[in-house]
Amino acid sequence: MTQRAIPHLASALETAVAHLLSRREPEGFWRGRLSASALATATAVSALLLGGEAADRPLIRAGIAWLRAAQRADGGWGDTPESPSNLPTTLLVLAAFRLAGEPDSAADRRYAVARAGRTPAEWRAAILRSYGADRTFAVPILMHGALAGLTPWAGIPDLPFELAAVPRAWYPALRLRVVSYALPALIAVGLLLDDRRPPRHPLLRAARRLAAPRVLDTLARIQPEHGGFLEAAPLTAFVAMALIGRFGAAHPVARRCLAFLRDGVRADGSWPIDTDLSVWVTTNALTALGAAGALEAIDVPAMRRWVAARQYTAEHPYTGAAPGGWGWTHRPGGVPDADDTAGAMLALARLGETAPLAAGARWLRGLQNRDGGWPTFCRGWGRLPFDTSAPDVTAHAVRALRAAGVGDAARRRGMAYLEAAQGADGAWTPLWFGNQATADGTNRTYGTARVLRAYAVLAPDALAAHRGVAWLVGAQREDGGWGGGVEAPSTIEETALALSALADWPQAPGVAEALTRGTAYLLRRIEAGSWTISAPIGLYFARLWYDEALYPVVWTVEALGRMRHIFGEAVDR
Amino acid sequence: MTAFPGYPIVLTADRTLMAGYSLLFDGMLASSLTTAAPPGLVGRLVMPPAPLTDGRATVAPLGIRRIEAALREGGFTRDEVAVVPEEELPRAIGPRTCAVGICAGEPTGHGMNSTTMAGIAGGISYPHAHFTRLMATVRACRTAAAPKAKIILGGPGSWQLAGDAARRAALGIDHVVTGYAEGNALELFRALRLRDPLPAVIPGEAVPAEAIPPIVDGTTMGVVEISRGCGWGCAFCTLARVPMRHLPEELIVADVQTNLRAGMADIAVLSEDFFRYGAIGASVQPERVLGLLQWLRGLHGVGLLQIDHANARSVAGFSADELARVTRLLVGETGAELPWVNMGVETASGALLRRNGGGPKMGGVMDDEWGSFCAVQLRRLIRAGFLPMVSLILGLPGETPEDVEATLRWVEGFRGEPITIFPVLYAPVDGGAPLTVRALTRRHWQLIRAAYTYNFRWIPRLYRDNQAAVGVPPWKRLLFQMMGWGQAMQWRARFALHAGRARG
Ligand code: SF4
Repeated sequence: MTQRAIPHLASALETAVAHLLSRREPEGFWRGRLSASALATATAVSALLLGGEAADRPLIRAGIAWLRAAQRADGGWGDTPESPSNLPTTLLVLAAFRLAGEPDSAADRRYAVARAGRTPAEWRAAILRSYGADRTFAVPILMHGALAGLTPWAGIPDLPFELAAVPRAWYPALRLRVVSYALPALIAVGLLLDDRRPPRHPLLRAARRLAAPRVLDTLARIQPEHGGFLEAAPLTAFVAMALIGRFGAAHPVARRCLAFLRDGVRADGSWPIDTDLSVWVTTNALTALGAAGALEAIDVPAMRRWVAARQYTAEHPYTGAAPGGWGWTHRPGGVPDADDTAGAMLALARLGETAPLAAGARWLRGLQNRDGGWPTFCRGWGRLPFDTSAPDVTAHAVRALRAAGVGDAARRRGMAYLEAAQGADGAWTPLWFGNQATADGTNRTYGTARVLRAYAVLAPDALAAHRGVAWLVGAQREDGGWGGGVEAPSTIEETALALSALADWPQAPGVAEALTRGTAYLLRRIEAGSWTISAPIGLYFARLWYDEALYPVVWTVEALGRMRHIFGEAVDR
Repeated sequence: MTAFPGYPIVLTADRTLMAGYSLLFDGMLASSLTTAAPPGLVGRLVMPPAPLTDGRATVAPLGIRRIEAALREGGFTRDEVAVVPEEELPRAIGPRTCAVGICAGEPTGHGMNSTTMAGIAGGISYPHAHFTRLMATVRACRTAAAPKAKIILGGPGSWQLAGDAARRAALGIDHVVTGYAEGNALELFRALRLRDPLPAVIPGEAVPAEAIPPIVDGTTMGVVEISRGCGWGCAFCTLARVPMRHLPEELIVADVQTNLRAGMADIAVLSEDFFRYGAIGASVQPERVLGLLQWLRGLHGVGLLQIDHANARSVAGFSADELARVTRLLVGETGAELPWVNMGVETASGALLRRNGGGPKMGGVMDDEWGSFCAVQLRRLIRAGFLPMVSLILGLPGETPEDVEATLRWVEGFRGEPITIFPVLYAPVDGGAPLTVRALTRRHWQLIRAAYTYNFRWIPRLYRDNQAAVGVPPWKRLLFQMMGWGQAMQWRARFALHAGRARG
């Protein structure tokens, strides 16, 4: 259906496409740029400090200076420079200051004191409270605090590293209190805690003595050649700190970790939370260019090859995942996951490359949970969020299976999961995206928009889809844009995602008007030149906020591309 | 007598953006100088304070004038909104002040021009230094007279602070608005007046070109805009992400008339691509450009019309006769013989430019023909009476020694011709680390020195010519020539020093 043409849509799309194309690497793919992270910087600086190399001093000084400058008015530190302060990041920064011999003043401590109390024991309790049952992040933070003398060793929950010595197939049955991706932290931090507070029970002591060499082998085996676990500065730094604390700075795994950290520092002295999301942003960009009818502007065969070459062709040493999946980055620290696999499959389908889809689909089917939904990395590892089914990941997976033309039954089960996961108000809550301005930090606009894309191709007439559409239309703000939820201010990212989703239901009540107003909002922002500033809506492991410079660009290209089909071409004058 | 309670809304900018310049080129010179040039001389000669009317600035950056116009259209009165220069802030900010709006051009010194000039000449670029000084004044005035007032910053350099919460906090800035904001300025200042909370970074919202409010007072250098944005996607350019929009002729004429009333006879007619004014898509409309110029030339009291940027691709769409008519209309009866125009060639290597998003800028020109295509267009401009001013970027991502060599040969090919060439060092638009002087090779320095051989010859002539055309007194022209001579000596010495240290 073509509605009344919107003036300037064509030239705005042209500009958006040109900008996206200009952000490519010389090799043709997109690397994007993740926001700087106080948390990553604090942990990286601390690991380098413990490593004790004189040559690292300039990096350490620059990192500390960056952290000093990143302190917020309330005395704390947030995940991104635009995020509110939070206790874990603030304590990690204070620990880094301690290790660097920088006096932490009352002004530095005022946020932590206000949030958690005055004593180290209160801080420890507050950290444990903030992560609940999930020890993945709480224990390394407390270890970092203890190494710096900021919080006590006593009272840090144990990490049963010896369990990493059992066959991988048993993991799900063990109901671990750390998530699947954190195996290196489980091993390294567990070993250090065991050293500082040996277990009382002689049998457990003996079992751990026996297990230690084996788990250290595992750790070395799963470490990528450049040293960075999951390309993540914090995880790699935690592992380095723990190993240095237990075995000294000469430990080979620790040495490789430090090398990775040295490599990852940015010119301003900060570290990002992860090296990059190159595969994720590239596949999103390709899909967006496809929607905008602009694929002729790139070297399609080269990009087909690039994406296809990122498919894992052997069992992944980190998670034991079978071949066939894709990770979020082209760098060695990536691990296959359902969201990136689905993204890559959809992009390849767009580029007309079908050969890798069968293996991708097989891989996805093997990951599906019993409830019909898809987790991110590992099937049935545990009950912690990253290992349980998530609507955003599931919606992406069913779309990918459909693009591959396989997995009818899996798709049906996936759709049943999505129906069950719909909120009473008609929205879906995603796992990997949030919004700092909503009361609970969730981003139901992202979740609903992503799930609706699946409904559009698999069950457009379902009641759940219509409830979702109604929610999304109702969530549009007065200015025509969308935020992370009804109460959050509009952003480019959410507006673009909502428009792309609603484009499949132009006839549904209220949608035509919503599309017109939403497109006008995007055009106003594009013409103002304020459309490329990214908002921190990404959620990293451990629910850390990040923003990615390419998100507003990629999703705007896709949204305007889809709008062009609805509103038709208008010659810009 | 009771003290003046201040204006509720005070708008300001640093001296480099609101000085009493005689020429558009003065503004360019001011943004290229660093504190290595004597501040007393620069402050008095290049950027003298602009005259005041009732303590208000007679001229201000166009961006501030647009916001002022949007607020006035929205119901704010002249007593509620005041545009003042830095020196007047202690008198303008008082207990009644709830917002101080700042237009920033170069708040962090991250722009390509600033990093280049600071790297080569040493010191801090004047735009950066003056912005820092302005912020200190604003903070002091706020503390002294209006502790609850919010500082809100916008303008072409606001992107440099949008992603830097720490620097914003250090500078005392409460809010940053990115991009054009006539669409939401009224709402934002109303919120500030009511002391409603606003986010730290606020995306600006544009209005359609037809709805841009005409200015109500004069602009620095008599600047009017004829189009906004470019949208051609060059990865090294902040305008790449804003599509080109042309302002209606009636609005342009109204802005020029306002400037004439404010005593600004010499007008700077700005666009990212002057010759693309009124284009339909990428297809230029010479008649529309000429029609606009004729209209402006016909306004009583208009002196020299100055333009800034042009793209080779658009110049190619004009015939020799049309180009000559453009020159005549720009110069009018002023007697100027060297109207200048800046053309971003960036590199003689088409492949390198294309790799950096320059495909749309190049149009259908083949990679290996980009250098010669630009040379042809530059010579056509020269024949039409222009003094072209070329900008080149050194160190574009992916640059090879062969690219540098090709660009060097290209520069050398203009020996004896009336041209100026300004190489700048690449600085990423996301605020990442710029290329440093230390990273330049001997070949780069050879290229810079070759370019400046032309500049040292032609810039003094351009200055003499343009200043005479706009009536700058002879003693002042002489002082400029002497200052330029001193600067050239200093720069020659710096080039020799850097080149001697450069790696192979
Ligand atoms: S053509 Fe010029 S103004 Fe346009 S995007 Fe490229 S460098 Fe910027």
